[in-house]
Amino acid sequence: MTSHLNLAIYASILLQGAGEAGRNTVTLEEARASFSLFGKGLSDKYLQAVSLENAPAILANPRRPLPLSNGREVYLPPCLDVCASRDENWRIYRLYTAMQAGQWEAGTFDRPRADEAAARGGRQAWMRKKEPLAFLRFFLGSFPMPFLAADIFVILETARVSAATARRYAGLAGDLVWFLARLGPRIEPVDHRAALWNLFFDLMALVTGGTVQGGYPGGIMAAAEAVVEPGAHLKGCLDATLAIYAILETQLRASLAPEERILLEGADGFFTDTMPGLRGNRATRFGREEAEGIDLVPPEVAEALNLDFYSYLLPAGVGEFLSEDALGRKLTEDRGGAEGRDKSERRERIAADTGREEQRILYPEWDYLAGGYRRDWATLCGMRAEEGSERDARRLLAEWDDLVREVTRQFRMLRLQERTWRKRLEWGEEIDIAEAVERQVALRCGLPPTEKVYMEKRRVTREVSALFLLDLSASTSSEITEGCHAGETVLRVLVASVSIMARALEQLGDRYGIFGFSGYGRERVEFLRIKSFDEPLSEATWQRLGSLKPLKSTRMGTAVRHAHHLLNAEPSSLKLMLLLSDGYPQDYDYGEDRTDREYGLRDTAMALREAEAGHIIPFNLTVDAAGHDYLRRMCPPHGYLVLKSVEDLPVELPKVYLRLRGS
Amino acid sequence: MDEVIAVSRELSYEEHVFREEPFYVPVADEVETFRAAYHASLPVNLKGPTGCGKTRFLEYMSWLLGKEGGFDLPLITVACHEDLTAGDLVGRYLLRGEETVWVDGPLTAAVKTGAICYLDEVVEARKDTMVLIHPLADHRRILPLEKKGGFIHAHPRFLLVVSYNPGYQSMLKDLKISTRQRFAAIDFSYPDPALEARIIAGEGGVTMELAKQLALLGEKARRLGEKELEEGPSTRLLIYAARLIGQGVGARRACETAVVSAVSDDPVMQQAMRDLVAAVFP
Repeated sequence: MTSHLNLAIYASILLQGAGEAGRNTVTLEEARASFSLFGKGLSDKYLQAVSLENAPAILANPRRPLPLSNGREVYLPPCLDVCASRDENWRIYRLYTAMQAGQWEAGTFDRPRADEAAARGGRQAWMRKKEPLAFLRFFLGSFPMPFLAADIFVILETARVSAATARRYAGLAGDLVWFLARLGPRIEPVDHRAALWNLFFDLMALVTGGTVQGGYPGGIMAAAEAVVEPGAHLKGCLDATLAIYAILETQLRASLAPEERILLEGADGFFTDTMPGLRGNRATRFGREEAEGIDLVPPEVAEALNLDFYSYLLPAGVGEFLSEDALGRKLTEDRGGAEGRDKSERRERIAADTGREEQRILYPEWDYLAGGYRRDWATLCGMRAEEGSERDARRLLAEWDDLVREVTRQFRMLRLQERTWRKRLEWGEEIDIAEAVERQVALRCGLPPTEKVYMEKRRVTREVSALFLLDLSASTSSEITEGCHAGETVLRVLVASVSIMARALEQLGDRYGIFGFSGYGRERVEFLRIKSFDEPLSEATWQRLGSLKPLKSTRMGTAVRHAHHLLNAEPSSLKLMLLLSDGYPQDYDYGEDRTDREYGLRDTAMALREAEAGHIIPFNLTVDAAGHDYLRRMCPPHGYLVLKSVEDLPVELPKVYLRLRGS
Repeated sequence: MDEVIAVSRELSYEEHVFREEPFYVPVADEVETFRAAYHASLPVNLKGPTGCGKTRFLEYMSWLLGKEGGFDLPLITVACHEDLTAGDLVGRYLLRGEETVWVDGPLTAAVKTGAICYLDEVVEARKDTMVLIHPLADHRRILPLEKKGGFIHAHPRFLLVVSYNPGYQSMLKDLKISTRQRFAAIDFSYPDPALEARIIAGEGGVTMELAKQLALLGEKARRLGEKELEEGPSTRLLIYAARLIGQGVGARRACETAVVSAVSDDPVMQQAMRDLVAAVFP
């Protein structure tokens, strides 16, 4: 039993895409990018906006008045048309985002300072993890009935955060009152969740000046009301959780049959749901069963709450890297194929790779959490790309014939146009009036007059070096589903684009190099040489272009640093780095948790900044439609372009190049 | 009703003197530092994001130092750009009929009369132009006049000040090290919300309550972009919003005009900021 509005909001999970969206409908797709940014504005953390259907039930379900965030994501309805106007539906999105982002400001994920932790000694493994909910997970998991503790805590914390946010933001206070009035306050207290629902509305009534109506066991309100007082801290919420738990547990146990009690005591959805990226075993989730000596809640929790509730230990093993995850089809195929393949064949392949390897360089990586570089962290293997068949190479540009001709013609014309007046010459085709006047001025002032009063139109040679860097990650194996190139892989179009550019640049005379990158893990970031700056565009180059295949991950920061290194050696005054990608930076150990994009994103952003500081102009073209979400954070506003369709790339790349070149 | 006709008067560089105290709220010890630099005849580089109060600070210091010294200390400002030539700064000969006459540029005028010469966004100027100020910005304090075949010793009250915004300096534009290291640098940043609210209230003519809300909006909106890559709304824009509100425009509409649309053209960024405005203002 819950409110009709809440049911309708959650029903959108089932109904999404079922019918035609009305004019009042707001969808997550259109709201996602701006609400992720909005959340960052409030919390100073980039919170990914994801659908409610992906939310752990303990944090968001129809019996919660508002979702609670896990500290990394904000949970929003996939679509919303529950209100008559679009503005009102948008308002619900805004409120959902604000209250979840507000958790950071209200201190839901507060951690102790490092010096405090060190002073206390011990492992305190949960502190070392980057998981915002690590402490709460341990605290709630320590109760005999974790689900009940979690239910109480979530309601109290939602009330605390809502109260604090409404006090700070007048606009959101209005949104909250408006939303709660539609949510419907009291419901029949048929179980502890319904009682907690009523408690939430009474707590909010204390903040908004409404009427307290009851609908929950006695004593609860007295324990809870402190959480909505100004300045209420997380500690107060945990205190209240303990007090209310003591009241509700007795009643709940009395109402359950013996077999139900066993069942409920084993319910640990909170732990499997809230942190899917973390690994641990059931034995370590409950203090009671913890083999390494963490005791049960009551005495220690009580003691800790009196002293410092951050002093709990989290069993080791939680938060380790996941070694298995979807890297894309290619990696799975590689691994699956490798198992069944003859060992000698594998050895040959490794030997061939080693034979193509030209250099190994260690590069640092930027760790945004530590606020510094991880020295010599990633190993870059410079390799020569394989050379494929001539037939593949010839077919590469066959389908883009018209475009090749047009772009080549434009670049040839540009070469002819690159003529300008050169002035201050001692002789030339025309007299420069301005210089002649200056000469007269000098003569009249008694200064030695200049004889350089002629000018002539001469060709200006621009010294340009451009490096094209292709993302060869496994995801580029995906096929295009629409348009006249449907069925082709993304990589095929990426390669066609640089091939067109190569043809055109031969007309213009700029120096250019083409490279690709991929790899798996920090120990091996493969950087493939397709054409170096000094090589001519030869048959071998075409064969290398024609043989490129999707490989593994996208450790972009290391590749950018190496591209920077190569461009540094170029003598040109204008150096361009054009990065062609199809997704965000990703690798299995690119950050502590592979589900966390932040590390790779920040490292790549830093690598791009380093390139800029080295007077290189980096530019990122992506065919990932969601690219705006992360590229706006990774690149300067003028430093990237998100293409609506992969097919646009061959057309857009020459335009981007000319713009960067200043032609 | 009598028609009021506003008449603007043309002033020479030297006449740009502040008689009234410009509104300025010190953020840290920048007033004392600048005063010390002035008395030690050290050229100063003001570094900070756009709209954080660099120019206003200089106006204030021009007034304050003049008042403390009992003299007029004009402020001569030059907005630098990539086509700025040495002649634009120093001066040039002009042909007037049959005559060729010399006209001082703003830098020469400041050097002669003893003013503060403020080269705004100096990084925009060409490096070869900036080399011109080198002898003026070290112990020599002289300005060579190449076209006149001589030089001028700077007036004792003369001070050279440059400013630039490290946040958006172009990758191909930076101060030459030899230029940069001639200046004592004072870093500016946006004030903390409490101080910013005071500034908004003082400059925008709104209540402290409203000014606090605008400062809160500024604090949150500046988080939207990575701070290394973009800049959020400046204090100046928040003051504009305050002034619009003071003119009777609704708070949300004023922020839309003065902040949201002014800061970004990106529809997603604009929407995020619009929601922040809605979060702050009922």
